[in-house]
Amino acid sequence: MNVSVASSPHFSNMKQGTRQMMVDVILALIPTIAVSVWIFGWYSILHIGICVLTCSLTELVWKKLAGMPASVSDASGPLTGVILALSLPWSAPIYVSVLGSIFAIAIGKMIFGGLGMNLFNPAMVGRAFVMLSFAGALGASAYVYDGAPADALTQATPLTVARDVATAQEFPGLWPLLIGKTNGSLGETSSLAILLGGIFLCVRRTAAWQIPTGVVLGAVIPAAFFELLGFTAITAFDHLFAGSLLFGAFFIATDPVSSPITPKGKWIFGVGIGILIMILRTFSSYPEGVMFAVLLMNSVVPLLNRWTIPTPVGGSFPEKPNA
Amino acid sequence: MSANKIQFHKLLSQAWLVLILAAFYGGGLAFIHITLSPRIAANIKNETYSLIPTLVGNPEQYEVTERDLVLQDRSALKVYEVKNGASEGVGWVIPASSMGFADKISLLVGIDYQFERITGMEVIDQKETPGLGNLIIDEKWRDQFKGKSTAQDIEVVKRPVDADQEVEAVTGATISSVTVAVAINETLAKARPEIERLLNEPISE
Amino acid sequence: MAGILPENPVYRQLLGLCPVLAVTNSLKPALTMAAATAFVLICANIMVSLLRHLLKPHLRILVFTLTIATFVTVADKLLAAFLYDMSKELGPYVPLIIVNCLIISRCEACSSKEPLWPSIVDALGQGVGFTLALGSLAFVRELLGMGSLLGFQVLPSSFPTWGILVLPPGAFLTLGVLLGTVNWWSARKS
Repeated sequence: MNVSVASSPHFSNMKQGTRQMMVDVILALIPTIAVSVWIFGWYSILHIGICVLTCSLTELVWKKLAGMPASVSDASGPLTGVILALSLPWSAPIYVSVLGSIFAIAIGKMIFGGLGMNLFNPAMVGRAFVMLSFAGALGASAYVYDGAPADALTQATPLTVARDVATAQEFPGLWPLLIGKTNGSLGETSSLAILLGGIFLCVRRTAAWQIPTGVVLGAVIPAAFFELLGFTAITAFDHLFAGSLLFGAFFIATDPVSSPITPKGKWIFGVGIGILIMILRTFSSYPEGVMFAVLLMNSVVPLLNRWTIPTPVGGSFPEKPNA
Repeated sequence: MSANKIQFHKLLSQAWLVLILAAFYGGGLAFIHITLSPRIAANIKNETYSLIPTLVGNPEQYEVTERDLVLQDRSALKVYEVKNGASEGVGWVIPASSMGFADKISLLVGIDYQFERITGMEVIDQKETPGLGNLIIDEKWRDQFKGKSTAQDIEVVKRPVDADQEVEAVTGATISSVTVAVAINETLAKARPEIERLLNEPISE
Repeated sequence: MAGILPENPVYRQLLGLCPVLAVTNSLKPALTMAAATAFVLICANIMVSLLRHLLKPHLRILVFTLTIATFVTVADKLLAAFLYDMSKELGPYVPLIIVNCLIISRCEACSSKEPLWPSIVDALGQGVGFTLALGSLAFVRELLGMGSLLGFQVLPSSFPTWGILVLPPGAFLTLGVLLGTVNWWSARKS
């Protein structure tokens, strides 16, 4: 029998597969990008442009040096750029976008052997690198700016407000969180736009619905407990709509390469991310925990895949008799 | 020969090299230790002593006495009493430390002789995040503590200061900044009664 | 002398990685560490080479460890006496030279079999190789992570320093990238 072996993502029609999927995700991001442009103006376009360009260039150069067919036509490189840009603060200096993109593609993806081989979500690898490197330029203070182009941007991000009594600002209501009129990373402000695109992805089966559902459940339940116990100042509902929880659940955690392949594994993966986000938000020194939660759960994906091999119809394989 | 003796000879014939080497190395190390330990002790002492004059306003001539205080919670605290050439009191230098963002932050705090105002602060040891938390070693930031009263707690704020006892946090490093203030507040509060007792005591010698 | 490049202890043999990762966030401690390690390596190799005819196979490791531990203690004391700042900064990593497998592997592979002069040359080569490796790692990390070299500011203060390189993850990243570059380069050459 002739069996072809290929790395994930898996499709019956490989020619269209990967690109179709990546194009789907980019389509689903359109509402989020639109809100981002509405709130942050040309900062948003600038960062997305730079990240997409740098990611594509890095991938082309690497493939050329490594003797692979040099092309970015599967659209996964540019998509990493879009996600990375949307997870940066609007005031991020240009070198942050450039270095983050180079790092995301080179260290996050190509060094493992390219698309399908990477263990970690490339965009989050790039973001972790710049966040830890340029903490001064990207910390909570990077979001607030006196001469900011919009009213919303003169306030601290909702999660910074939530954990820091010293800022003495009010937590924004539900409506600003839904339409995105708050401060935050470029793509995380509007829950409504994210939900719109996210549900589109799940309906198209481009994203596995188990992962975002798992993240939401995994975050909301501990958040409710933490609220009851008084560990956090805002409600579980606020936790759900503030910060990049939803953006991470629908667009970052669902990356088909760095998430588990079995349905059960996807559930565990999603719930794990949700719980980690709440633990990091509540007990770490960072206001937000999506990036580290996704990276941590990425690292156990191979294990999850091994543990959750589904039982085939008709029961499990009989044990091999001792020959 | 008895069996024991044969056994002993057998062991010795194998282990003599190790035994001789151990004795030889041991002797060598003892020699090195005796030659170098005064120098090492001087280095350790110097680390604190070289910072003392700047902490108490650079007196031209000074002399330092170590005082071992026993605090109310029965812990010991070594403080340095600084006097000038004419043996008038110049100030006190008190070590303080607290757990920072990454590891323990150790400080030396200089205070005037009447224990009223802080005259200087130095960070001797810290492993805070480079570029953020480690800016607490910056001289400009440390100078904020100069002139603060010892009677009230110092407060760290995240905006330009507008009251006497306030210090502006290092941007993006609130935890490191607060740690420094807490270390100073706690240590001064504990040392204060003991030092006042020393000041009021008639000189016994 | 093969230890300098073709058999570099770090880039080729991947030996002694603990100090390579731990003390290379700037050049000064890295070079001090490399010098201390080279000192112990050379002294231990001389001693072992002199004693090589007296060694009994089952007691040799004991003799190696005893010799290395002695010279490490000497190095530790010397640093504390003459380079107190460095001794404080390197902290436990100086005593940890005792368990640096580079040294014991040279004792075992070379000086317990070779006469005095080849042993010294071998230790020198490995020592220089180790210094090169620590130096190159620390050069990259200090230059990009702090914008300085040996404590002197060399990049303009407007340069955005890459803080992560000074932190522990930076050690792994830099080592990985340099190791990859060395392998890529030598693969291209051959």
